Amino acid sequence: MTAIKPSGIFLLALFCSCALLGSAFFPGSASALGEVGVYSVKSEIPSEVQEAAETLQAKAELQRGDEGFWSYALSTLIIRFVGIFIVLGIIQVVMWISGRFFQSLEKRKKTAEAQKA
Amino acid sequence: MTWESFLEVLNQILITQTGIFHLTPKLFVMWAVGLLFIYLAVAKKYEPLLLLPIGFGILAVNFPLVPLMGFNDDGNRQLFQIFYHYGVEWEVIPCVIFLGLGAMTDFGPLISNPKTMVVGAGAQLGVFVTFIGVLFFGFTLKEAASVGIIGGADGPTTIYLTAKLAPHLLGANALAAYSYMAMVPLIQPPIVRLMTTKKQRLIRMKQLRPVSKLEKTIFPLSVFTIIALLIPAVTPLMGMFMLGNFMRESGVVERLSNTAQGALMNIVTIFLGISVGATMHADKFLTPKPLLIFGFGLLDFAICTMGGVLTVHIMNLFLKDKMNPIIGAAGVSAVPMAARVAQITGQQEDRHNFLLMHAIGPNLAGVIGSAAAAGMFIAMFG
Repeated sequence: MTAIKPSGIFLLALFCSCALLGSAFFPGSASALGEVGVYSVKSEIPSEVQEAAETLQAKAELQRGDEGFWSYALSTLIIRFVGIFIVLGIIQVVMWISGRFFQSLEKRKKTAEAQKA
Repeated sequence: MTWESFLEVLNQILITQTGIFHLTPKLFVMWAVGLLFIYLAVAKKYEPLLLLPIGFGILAVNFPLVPLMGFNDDGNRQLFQIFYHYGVEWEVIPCVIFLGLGAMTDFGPLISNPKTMVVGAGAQLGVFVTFIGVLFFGFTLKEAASVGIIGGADGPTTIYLTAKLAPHLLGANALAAYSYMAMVPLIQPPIVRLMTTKKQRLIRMKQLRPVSKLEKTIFPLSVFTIIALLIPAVTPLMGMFMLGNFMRESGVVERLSNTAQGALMNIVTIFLGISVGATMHADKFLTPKPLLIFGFGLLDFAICTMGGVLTVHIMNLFLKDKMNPIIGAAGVSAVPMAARVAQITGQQEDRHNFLLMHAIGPNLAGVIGSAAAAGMFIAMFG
């Protein structure tokens, strides 16, 4: 149990602090997520129109250079970076649990063999 | 036939059927670039398996009138264009390389010390810092994501993501990724020394527990399940990676495993190198962006290394059995080069401190981490 606790606390603390920082500094993240929702619908639009719209959007994004763009970019950064910690953290927990399981299995095997002997 | 008409025909032939009169200074610059990478591969042995075919690809497509990277008069693709289209654009080659990598990888050190998984995540810091950094220089969001992933130090992932988001930057990104991967022994040690004290570098870690065969066999299946559920966008890469590893660990398809990590891997490496090199025509490459990519790639690598070391420092605040922060640098993928560098850096302080197996853990976590980062970018912009 001692092995997982500290890293678990570390992960949780990191996630919470990043989430707090994100919400404090980049209030535009909610609207950014809204934009993602819009992206997912566009696949039904003809590809030429979609490409033209994307180009226009990219140009507008670059030309704007306003708070909206940067809060979108920065909130993306924080969400994605924390996301990697969460994904790898979940894999870590699964590995830890399965490791414990296999270790106990090994122990049982050894005890059974010792008892037989 | 008059002398004039003979000269006219000769002139026509020289102009339309030879490349001599179509040479431009830009092409000479690209020859120099191609020859530089061939030199690095042959003389310096920097990632020769990739840099040699890339260098040749650069050289070959930068001769005038060569029918390699375009379309024939009847609209069919030319040779290198076929390799590029079906190999890279169709995302086949990076995934097949991941299959081979999976078949070559022993996840034992990572399974026996799961804590190192987080180090692989921390070492992706540079990916995101660079993503923001390049936005200031006029890169679009998609381009920024593809440049950022260079710091993940994972060639196939870089190529996979760039081919999806910013194919026009493929040559520069791949070249930067492989060049810096080759320079890990030069880039990482000074950063590690800067970020650690001598006492920290002397930390000896507990010996890793042995991992059973069954545990190793279950590992690729469980990781695949988690990745497929959480980041489905990266399933082609991670799926092939885990399939390769499952073939290896299951032990029942040794022939397939051997082919994946041997012949198949070698075949696709040839096509990958040529395809990447062939995208670097002078007109596309000689712009300010590739230079910026090389500059930011280096910064990216440095920040990723710092991120890994910093993550170990933070983890050590909570851990009873301290980790040697040198292994944090191996959190960038670059398998197994980064782990070897960690071992050498550790032994420079204490000859009897063997960090290699401990460093392999974050090293492999870095592969999963960089693929996860790529998956997140694809999910967002792909």
